[in-house]
Formats: sequence, structure tokens, C-alpha cells
Amino acid sequence: MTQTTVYPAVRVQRQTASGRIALTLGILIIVGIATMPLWASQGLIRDVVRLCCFIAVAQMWNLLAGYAGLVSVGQQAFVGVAAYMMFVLAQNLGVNPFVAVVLCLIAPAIVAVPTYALLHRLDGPYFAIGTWVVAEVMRLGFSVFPYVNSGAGMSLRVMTDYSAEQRAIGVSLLCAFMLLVTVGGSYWLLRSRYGLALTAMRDNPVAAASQGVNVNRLRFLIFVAAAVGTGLAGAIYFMAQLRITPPSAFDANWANIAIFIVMVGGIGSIEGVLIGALIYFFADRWFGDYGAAYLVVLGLLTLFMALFARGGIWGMICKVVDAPWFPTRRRLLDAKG
Amino acid sequence: MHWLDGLVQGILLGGLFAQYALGMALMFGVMRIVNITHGDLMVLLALIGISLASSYALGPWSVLVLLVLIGGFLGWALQRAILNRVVGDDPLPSLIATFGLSVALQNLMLEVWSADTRSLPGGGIEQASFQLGPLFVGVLPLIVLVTATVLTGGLDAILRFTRFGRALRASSSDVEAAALTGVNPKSVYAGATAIAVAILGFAAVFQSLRSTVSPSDGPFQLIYAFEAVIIGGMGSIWGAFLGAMVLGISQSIGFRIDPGFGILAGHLVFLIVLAVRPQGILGKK
Amino acid sequence: MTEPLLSTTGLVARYGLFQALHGVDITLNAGEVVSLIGANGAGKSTLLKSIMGLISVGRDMVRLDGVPVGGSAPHKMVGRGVAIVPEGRRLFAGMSVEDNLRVAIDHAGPMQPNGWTLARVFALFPILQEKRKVPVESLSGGQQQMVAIGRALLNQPRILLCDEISLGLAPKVVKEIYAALPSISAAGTAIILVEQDVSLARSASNRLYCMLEGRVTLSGNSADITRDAISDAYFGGSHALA
Repeated sequence: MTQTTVYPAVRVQRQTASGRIALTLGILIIVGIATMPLWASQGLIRDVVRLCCFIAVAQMWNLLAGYAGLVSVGQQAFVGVAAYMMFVLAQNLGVNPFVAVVLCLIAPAIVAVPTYALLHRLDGPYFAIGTWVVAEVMRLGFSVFPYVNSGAGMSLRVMTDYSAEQRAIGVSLLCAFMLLVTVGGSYWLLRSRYGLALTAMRDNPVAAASQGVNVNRLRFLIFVAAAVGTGLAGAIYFMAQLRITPPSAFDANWANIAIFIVMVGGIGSIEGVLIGALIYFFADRWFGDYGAAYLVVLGLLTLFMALFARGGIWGMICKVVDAPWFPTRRRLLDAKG
Repeated sequence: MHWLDGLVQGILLGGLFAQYALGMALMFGVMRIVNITHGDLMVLLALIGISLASSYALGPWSVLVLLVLIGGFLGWALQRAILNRVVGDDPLPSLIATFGLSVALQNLMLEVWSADTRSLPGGGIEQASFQLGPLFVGVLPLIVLVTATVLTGGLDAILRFTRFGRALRASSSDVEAAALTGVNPKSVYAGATAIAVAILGFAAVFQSLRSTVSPSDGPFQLIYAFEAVIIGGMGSIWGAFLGAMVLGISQSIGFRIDPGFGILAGHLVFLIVLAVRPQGILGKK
Repeated sequence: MTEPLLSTTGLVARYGLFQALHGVDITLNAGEVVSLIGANGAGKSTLLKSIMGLISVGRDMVRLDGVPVGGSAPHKMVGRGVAIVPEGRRLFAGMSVEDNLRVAIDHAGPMQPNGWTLARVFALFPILQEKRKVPVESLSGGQQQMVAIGRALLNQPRILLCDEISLGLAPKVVKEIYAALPSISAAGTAIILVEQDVSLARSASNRLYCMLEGRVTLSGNSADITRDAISDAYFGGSHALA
């Protein structure tokens, strides 16, 4: 039919109409979040900050589990260690708290390196429980560490130096920055030259290695990057809370939230995280008062997704319409088409 | 004497950890999965046992028999209904499925039994002790240790000498080849999980006799089981037993240094073992 | 006409999107030794895997005594008297020779008249008796192949599938292994041999099938088929069909 020596002219399509619309919307949303103090109430700002923290933590977990093949149930280690570092910098060392949110990210990065070095030798499921042990070590360690006021925790009293408006402006800008770094950064990473290897890595590390990518190194870098992104969410979340204690900072519920959002929304896609985060946010708001019964349903839903719908809601949508918001695939098109 | 006492108490505590760890080592060995509900199932069995004891005025040994039977059934059902669908090369589905189930189970127990801590009345056995030279040794901890040793030896013998044990070792080595030799992997898996959870029936009785249980305790027991397995060396039944002893001694000695340091000391020993001997004490490179 | 012991009709098998077999028809009668030859990737191993149920196929595509059994789980096929010596031997590492064999005894199909026992396997391969307590991974390649064959025999097969049992072994050892086949056949077991070595395949079998790209391209009595016909069928020269 065709002669193998003649290659048909093709071009690579990497952006789609739906992608362009989503990108425009995304930029508008980030601008909207940055300018919240101009148009939103204090209550709405608080909600948006919460939602953004969920999105960031979940997307970081998605990067780990959905692409790097590293399942962690101990991401709260990085939430807590970054938040504590921010409290120490701002409260004990007198650094401007808004600057401290960024500076504190050195802590999760530093913790992530030995954590990965120790745990990467463990087989998949054991790696996951290992991350949990690290988070427990952090929780127990901070509970007996007098410099951070041990088990009683710390308050961010320096925030009283700022007016409510100033705080709102700071938190809103940080939130926009966080989304840009975690969601935008992931999108950029997936479209970079590492993107193809990343998408292949989870299912087939050997194929990914044949792309000329050092899979182990990339895994390590993603683990550290995810720790930093998760830490950023933790720092912003606890800045809004104004108080931190070891049980709240290293709460296993963070892992729970990330896993629920990613598994229900759709693993291995940014769209899934956004969908899942919105579902979790509203479920928590509407049904959170039911306490244990609500969590039973949440747990069973996660179980159900793992058994019967591994691609989550976004996976189901993709079977019906092909309109990605964050197109990361490369498509070969006929030059004529 | 303080330290010697710590050592002895640690070994006795290790007996309890061994009962958590055996099942985890068995399940991981044959299926390469970790059941995150491992600790929650122990708590569930303990709460069922406490309720049975108070409703029907049962003694601890009758409760033990019932819980081992219930545990075996629960394990079999868990494997058939859930785990058989998620066993595979990809660790994600089994982790997520059991993680979700763990959240659901903990909160379900919270609904049914409330957050109160409970314990099983032992009719005096929990306080009994005898003097051994300069040391006082509790009767119950000694029973726990002896039981753990017998369970470990028994499981080891089952694996070595029975039809089921050979099928399990064969599946653990190469599940496809085992199936081609006539083994039904799903039956082997169901048997392994049934044994793992049945052993938790022992742990449930002993934990609720010597101390208390509450619905949110599960994750801690899961972590102790995991640490014992890794410290001892993956894929070895006696390794899990030995790892449990090391973990028990670490916690006990740590507790004597500072009461807030006990559990942390166990975690730190685990991390040190991971750093200097990642294959575990009995593990082969 | 009596039903053949084993037959495949229009057998189609896929690995994901890749179709490995395109309608394969073969038969095996009681007491026969049949060889399957063909280049790498021709679909010989896939055919055996499909028969054993490792690859899902349609119910009617595989028949045992005329009864459709395609797509049954592997352990059910063993229970019906079909055993395999898998490619690459696939022994249970960490277990002794005897325990490897015992797994097969534990899960054997219905006992055949003058069926296989541990003692008879040891008589067939005396070295295994000597090494019975040794972990299988410490045996030589040829000895491991003997364990794999012994294991399959202890499943009490009416049909024995052998997947490349000469692969990677020294010629002298191959000879030793093949010397065992007539006594297996004499015990009433029909054999399908997948074999790379064409002359070995011819001499050891009553009939042979040659496969190419997922199809049978030649079949006939091993003694009658000429080398040229095999060469054509093997490399896809003139697509000779017998």
C-alpha cells in the first residue's frame, strides 16, 4: 500500500481547542484568586484557600502515584514539617510570615532526600507504609521537641501585626502562586521533554528508560518536588489556621484527602484532580457534619473506585468525549488534515 | 536491673507484635500486597470479642476460640470479595482499595462502639505475675510470648510440610508456574489471608486483655507489624518473629529512657535497620 | 469417527492489540507425539499457552475429547489431564527438588492407569533422587529441565505439552532429555513438542506442524515431509499447505 521509504509529511499537534479554552480559563482563575481581596468576602477567601490547598496536595500525590509510580500514604510529613518551619521562621526568628511561607520550603526538601534514600529500596506497598512511618516519626518528634513547644503546639501571633486586609492580600497572592507552581508546574513538566517518559514510567519503567531518561533520578526529583509542593500547601493552610499542633500538622487525613481526590477524580490527569478536589470540598462542606458516617461513605467510595473505576470520573468522561483541558499527548496529524 | 527488666518486658511485648507481623509477612510473601486494614481488623476482632464477652458472659479463652474462627472467615471473605480483584504487579490498586476500606472500617467501628477505650476482663490473669530471680514476670505476657512462638513455629511447619504450604510457597515463587502445575492461586490466597486474620484473633484477645483498644488504634498496629517484618527480613516467618522482638525491646528500652520516647525509639531502630541492613536481619541480599 | 484427544479449531489469540494466532487448527490423537516447529514469534508458545488457559480464548476453540474447554483456568486444565513443561522451566526457586515435584503430586489430575509416581520419575532421571533435598536453583540447566519434566509428569497428564525443552542445554544433555520421551509416550501420554531444532523435532515425533506468523503453514507425517517443504513453510516461501 505505502512504500516504506517515503515518510508522509506529518505535524505534531500538542494543543487542542478545549486545551486553549481551559488554559485561558485557568489564567483567568489564577488572576481571580490573586485579586480576591478586591471582590471576595473573608469567608469566601477562606474557602478558596482551603480548596486550593486540597488541589495542591492532591496534585502532588497524583504526580507521585499517577506518574512516578510511588504510592505514599505519608505526605502529611511534608505538610507538617513545612508548616512548622514557617511558624518557627515567623514566630521564633522574626522573618516576615509571607516570606517565611516560601523560605520554609527548604524543610520538606531536606526531609525528602533522606526519606527517599531510605525508602526507595522497599517494594511498592512497603514504600507506602514506610512513608507513613516517617510521618509518624515527625509527629512524635515534634511532640517532644521543646523548641516548638512540644505537644502543646504553636500560635502564629505575629499575624496580629497585620490588618485583615493585608493578611487577605498576602494569602490570596500566595494561593495564586501555589496553584501556578503545583498545577501549572505539573502541566509544564508533563509537556516538557520529560513528559513522555513520565507518562510511560508508571506502567512501563523499562520503556521510559529507553526514552533516554534516567528513571530513578526522575523518580527522586519528583519525590522531592512533590514534597515541596505539598509543603507549600501545608504552610499556607496553617498560616490561615494561625495555630499548629503535632496531631493537626501530621494528620493522616491529609493522605486520605489526597487519595480520595485523585482516585475519585481520575489518577494520572490534572483534570481529575480538579474534579476530585471540587467534589471533596463540597462533600466535606455538606456532609462533614455527619462525621463518622460521612467518612465511611468516603472510604467505601475510594474502595469502589480502586475496584471498579481505576480511571476515576475523568477516565469515564474521556471515554465519552475527547476534550482534554490539559492536553499532554502528542498527536500525529496528516499535513493535509 | 532497670535495663534487664526493660529487656524482658520488651521481649514479652515483642510476642504481641509477632502476632501482628506473622500475617503481614505471610500475605506479602505470597501476594506482594500490604493489607492496610491489618491493624483495623485486629481492633474489629477485639471489639467484637469484648462485646461477645459482656453479652454472653464468656471467659477470655472462649472468646479466643470464637475470634480465631471469625478472623479466619473475615480473612477468607476479604480475599474473595476484594483482594482477589486487586492482586497484581501494580501495587496501587491493592493499596488504595485497602486504604479506603481502612478509613471506612475505622469510622464504622466508631459509629458502632464509639471512641471509648475498652478492654477484655481476664478474671485476674492480667494482673498475675511471678518472681524470676530479681524480676517480676507477668503471667499474661509470658502466655503471649509462648503463643507467638508456637504460632510462628506452627506456621513455619505448615509452610514446610503441608500440601497447602507447598502450594503457597510455589505461588510465592512463581504464581503462573504454580497455576500450570495445578494450583488454584485464588484458593491459596484466600487460605493465606484467612490464616493471617485468624492469627489477628489471638492478637485481639491478648491486646484487649493486657491493655485497651479503641477504633482508631488500627494504623499503629499496622505500622508495628510492618516495622517488625522489615527489621526481621522480608519473606521469612522467623524473621518477622525476630523483628517483632527487636521492635518490642526498642520500644521498651526507649520507654525507660523517657516515656515519650518509647514508640519513637521503635521507629528510629526501624529507620536505622533500613539504612544499614535494608534486607533485614534474616534477609538475604 | 472417534474424537481426537485434543483439538483446536480456528484458534485466535491476542496480546492486547497484537493478534498472535490467526485461526490455528491442530489435532492430537491418543499415543501420538506431535511436533510444532517454526521460527521465533511464529506463535508456538502462544498456542500452548492458549491451550493451558494462560491466554483467554473462546470456549469452542479448544476441545478435549470433543468437549469444549477453551479459556478454562490453568489449574482446571491440569485437573483434566493436560500438563505443561513451560518455556524457561519456571521451577519454584527456594524449594527443594522433592518439594517442586510434590506440588505437582498434590494437585495432580485423575490418576492414570500405571500413573507416574515419585519413584518412577526418579527411575527416569536418577540424578534427581540424589539431589532430592537440594534447592532447585543450585541444579544445572539440564537437571532443572528434568525437574520441570518430572513435575509435569506427576500431574498425571494424558497430554503433555513441552515448550522448548532443549533450549539453552548442551547437545549431550538434550540427547539425555529426549531419550526419556519414548518411555513417557509408552506410558500412554500423548505429547506436543515445541522445538526449535527441526531435525530433532522430526526424529522425535510421529507428525509435525510448522507455524509461521500465527498460522499453520505445513502439516504431515514427520517421516514423509521433505526438508525443502519444511524450509518453505518455515520461512514463508510458497505457503505450502498439506
